[in-house]
Amino acid sequence: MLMPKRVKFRKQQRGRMTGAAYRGSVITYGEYGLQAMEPGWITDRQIEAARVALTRYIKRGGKVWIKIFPDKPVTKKPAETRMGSGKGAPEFWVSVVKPGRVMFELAGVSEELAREAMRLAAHKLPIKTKFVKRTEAGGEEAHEG
Amino acid sequence: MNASKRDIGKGSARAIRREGYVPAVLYGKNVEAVSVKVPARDFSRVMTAGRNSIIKLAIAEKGGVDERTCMVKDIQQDPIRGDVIHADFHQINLKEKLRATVAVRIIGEDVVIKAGGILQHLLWEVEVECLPAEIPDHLTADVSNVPIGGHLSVKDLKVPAGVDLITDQDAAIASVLAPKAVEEEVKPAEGEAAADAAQPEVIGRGKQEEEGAAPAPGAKEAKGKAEKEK
Repeated sequence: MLMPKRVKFRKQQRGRMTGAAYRGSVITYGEYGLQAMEPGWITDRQIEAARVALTRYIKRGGKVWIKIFPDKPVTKKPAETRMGSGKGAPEFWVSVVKPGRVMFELAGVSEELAREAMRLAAHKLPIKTKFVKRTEAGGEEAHEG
Repeated sequence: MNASKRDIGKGSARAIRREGYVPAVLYGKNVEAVSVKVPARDFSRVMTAGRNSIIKLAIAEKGGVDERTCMVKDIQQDPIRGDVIHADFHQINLKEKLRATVAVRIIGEDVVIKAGGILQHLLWEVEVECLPAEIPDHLTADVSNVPIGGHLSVKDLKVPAGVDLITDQDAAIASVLAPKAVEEEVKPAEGEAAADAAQPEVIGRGKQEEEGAAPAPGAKEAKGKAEKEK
């Protein structure tokens, strides 16, 4: 599962997810992408599940890029514990995703295959997503549902 | 493309967008910058024709129409909807060479796939220097002769006469990789999952303080249970 190798602090506050993702909102490496339409926390397990779904469907051929990294620790208090006595222990890692963020990229496969692979991957994620594809000369990206 | 002068500021820019226009700015060498607005439909038509299209921008003024030759230098897009929020027009001199970004299209992909290789398109655009009228729509890179494990460089591109490539000649445009087995992709990841879950993260600065202050997760759980029993 993805997680940072070293961190400065073991626990973090939850933070807010307002606005849109201006950085990381265009396709940079591949030909097709999966773009977030809602804000949300994507856990390390969800990223891994989506990656497995993508790579299984495209079989041989094609290359996958994961453009999000779970760098935020989420803590949890043990079950049936009374409130108080400090923050819980780190349980898992999440990536904070804002609308517009291209989370996965795919190249080297046909559009039909990419669409289906991204559809399967999107089912592993807790947010609404959109299939996007690159267009030429740094022009507009084709935004399709 | 018709354009008209506009007021600056985010409020007026938003109003312009609501009316179906794109706020834009026109600038160039020895030219004063002008804030203009262009119809969104016309602008999207220009963008579909190609990013490097030469545009005759007719700016409506009180005394008549001021016609300027320009190109789209930059655009800002909404990250979700993809609508153009703002455009930069660069006034050009048709007799002066300029630098532009041109798309690289790959051909001969079928040959690579038939041979069992995976085509990796690395460079999607290259920078060229030429006269505005000579900017190619796109450059083609033929990968049919690239063996598995090989790559195609910028120097292998066929460039029309009068066009100079600015991008590094040795930069790879595309490479052909040997295919990986599916099992290889999936199995290590599953193994990793168990290994990673057990690994605690290494704490950088304030390592001693953190370790001293925060007991192990197990200790906390035990503390919680003890409290509950009380």
